[in-house]
Amino acid sequence: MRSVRLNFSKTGRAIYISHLDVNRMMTRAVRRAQLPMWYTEGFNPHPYIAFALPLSLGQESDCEYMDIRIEGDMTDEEIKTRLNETLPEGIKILSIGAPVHDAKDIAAAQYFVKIVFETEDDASLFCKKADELMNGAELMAEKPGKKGHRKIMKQVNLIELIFDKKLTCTGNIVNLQCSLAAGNTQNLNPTLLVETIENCAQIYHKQLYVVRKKLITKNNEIFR
Amino acid sequence: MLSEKIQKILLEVQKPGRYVGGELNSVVKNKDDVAVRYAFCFPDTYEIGMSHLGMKILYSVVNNRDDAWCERVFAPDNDMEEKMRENNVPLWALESGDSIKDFDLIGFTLQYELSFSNVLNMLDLAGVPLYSKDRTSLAPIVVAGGPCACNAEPMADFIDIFLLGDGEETTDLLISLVKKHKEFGSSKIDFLRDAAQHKGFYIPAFYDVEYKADGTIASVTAKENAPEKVEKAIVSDMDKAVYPEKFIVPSIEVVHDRVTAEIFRGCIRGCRFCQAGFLYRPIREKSPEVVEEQCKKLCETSGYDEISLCSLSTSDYTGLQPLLNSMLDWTTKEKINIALPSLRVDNFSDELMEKLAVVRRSSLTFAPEAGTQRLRDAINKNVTEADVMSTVDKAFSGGWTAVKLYFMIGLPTETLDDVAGIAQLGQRVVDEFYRLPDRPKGKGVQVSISASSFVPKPFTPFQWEPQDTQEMLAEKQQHLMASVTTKKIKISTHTTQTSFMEGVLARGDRRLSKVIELAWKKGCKFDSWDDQFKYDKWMEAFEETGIDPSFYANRRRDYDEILPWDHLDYGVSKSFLINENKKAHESVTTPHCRIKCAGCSSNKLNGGKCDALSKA
Repeated sequence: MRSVRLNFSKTGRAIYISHLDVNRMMTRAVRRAQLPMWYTEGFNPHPYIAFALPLSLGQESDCEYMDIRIEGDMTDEEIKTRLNETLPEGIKILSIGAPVHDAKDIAAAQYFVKIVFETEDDASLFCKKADELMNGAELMAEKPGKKGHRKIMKQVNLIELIFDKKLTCTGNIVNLQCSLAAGNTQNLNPTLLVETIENCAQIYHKQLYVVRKKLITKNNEIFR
Repeated sequence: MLSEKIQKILLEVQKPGRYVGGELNSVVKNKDDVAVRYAFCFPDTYEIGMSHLGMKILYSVVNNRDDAWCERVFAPDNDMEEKMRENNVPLWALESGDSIKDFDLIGFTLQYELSFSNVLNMLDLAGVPLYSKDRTSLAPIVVAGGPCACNAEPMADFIDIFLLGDGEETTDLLISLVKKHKEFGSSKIDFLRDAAQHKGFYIPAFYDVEYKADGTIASVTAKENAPEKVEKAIVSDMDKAVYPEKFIVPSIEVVHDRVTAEIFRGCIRGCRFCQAGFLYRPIREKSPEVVEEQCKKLCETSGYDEISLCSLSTSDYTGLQPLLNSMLDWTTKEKINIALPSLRVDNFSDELMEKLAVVRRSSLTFAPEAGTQRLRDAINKNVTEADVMSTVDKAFSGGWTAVKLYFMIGLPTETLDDVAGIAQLGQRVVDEFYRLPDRPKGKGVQVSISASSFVPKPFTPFQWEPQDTQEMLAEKQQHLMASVTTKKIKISTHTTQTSFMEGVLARGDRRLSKVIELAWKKGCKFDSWDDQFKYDKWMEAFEETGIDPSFYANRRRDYDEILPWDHLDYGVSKSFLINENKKAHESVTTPHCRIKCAGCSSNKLNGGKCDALSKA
């Protein structure tokens, strides 16, 4: 038995499939691909499949990771080819290899965010305000959190969760490239960042596209 | 493929995966390469519709043709409907993202009466006129099939063609007819005249209905050269019928998410309350080799780890033992579970139970239907209490600690004693568990009793019977609850209002079309969802149209009354149904079709052939 990490992308219509449903989809895909999966032992045997960091519904990604356990000696290349032949539209295995990092080492994620506004004025105003807010000391937002077992809303300073950012404005489109906190302990969804800025600026987008480009570990390495 | 307008609203609704298509094995064609575009509409949500086997079959029937493209359409949930109306986005088909009003054919499957209002809502969301008479051009033609097409009269004003019987036959022919008339440049009426000449094609506009002063039907007259009686179409040989090689694998969770194999059509039992048991006659079995091959292929192409062997009464399949023996060889190895829904208590063997428990243990459900022997005889269930006991014995000894029992209340001839009998039977099942020395240790027994309300349906021996009023049903439900004395029995019942509406629509006539339209206008949709059903709005619609719903639900019909569905021929003769009705009132049973042919005459549809006899 060996562990294999698959890096896959989620694009097009597949961005509307939730994290849980991707899990179910993959369980079936490995069956269709007839991979020699290692099965858990017990009353309800199932193949071992684990995912790195969940992606929000509606976001595109080039950096989704799935770990599986294989029995027997099928090559990585064969596993990749077989899976790609049977995956639905929008899900594609990009690379495969032995896991290097632990999923709990993930500390940040790089995003490409495209924000489309009705007018050029809106876009440049937003850009100006965003620049000002993200370079300030404090940008507070409400995030769902937990107090013991109770679910509560808590105030969070988003600035502490932004590691890097670059804003450009062309026409009615604002592009935001950013590196945001990600992982189990602290996490910032780029949609929340954009919405928080929008609420401050009182300008709202027409369309919002988010692509997750890379996952970064706490040692500042690319997760793989 | 999805327009920007659609993409924008997708992120504003729950479970957008329901509206985008792109699932594995869905079929995408080039619209310029096909002659006929068909929007197959399921008038309920994606999760329900994607569980439906008929849609999978017909999707293949159409998409196997190079000249046609079938796409899927489901009823959008309320949040999506709101966004669609707000942003002027008309209803689209999942595969192409194109608006369905530009399709050649819009087809609905009518699986239950309470989906009728959704049909209207979907037509409206598509931007298609509701009334058949208001759609004057050749496209789109609106058709409907499924079990409720057997009495489609309440929907008669909205639908151009009802397709009666097995869709494999009628759908293929329909596509060819539309293609021909499109090429020819026919008018809609010319197309319909031609369609009416084919088996299974019922064009309601070609039949004039006259009423008597008492509200019953005086006459139904065919015109435009349409046949006096429209006979349903059937698949003659199940081994040769189209069956999908691939199932669309939903990307999000749906209700029944597994391989489904149909093992035979029809039923040998003749339970008098059961519409499906009469509608799908004569019996046609698929051979075990064909079933197994189809299952294998479907598992490979879908990746599913569960197979459901599906029919109206799975343990009556003559090839069940050899099929299971052969299938278990590979399903066990590949960790695939086999589920057998619709088992009977009188032929559930030890061997069968062992086979069911091989990979994962599924739940066990049996349907005695009535609480006393007298009533079980009246409905011709042909199950004894000894059968029930010996089955639960086997189940408990085999390690099961929970069983589900299905019953109906409101059956013809039923008394309060019969209702109390349900609780008593449940109690005896509980007692049986504790009597068994080899019962599973460490766990208590759980008996779940589901008591639904009986709704008389067309083409059954009970089609003349009055449905119990809501007051009677409520009283019986309370009596049932009061008769249970242990916490080991759990009872669930249905709301009587829903059953009443189902009863009205099931045996309604075409005067109900305007009630349905008005109820829909008042906001009725998703009527089969308890949380969305608006009984008051329906009652307002009856009030305002001056139509008495109890005329349809609670009235006893005479044998010689013209029933709204009498001009449709589903094979089973009226004299047979009358005879069965009389026997019910005498609590006399009719043996099942393999013991003795009951003479329902449905075999005339298949050249005198019926697998109840040939495979006895």
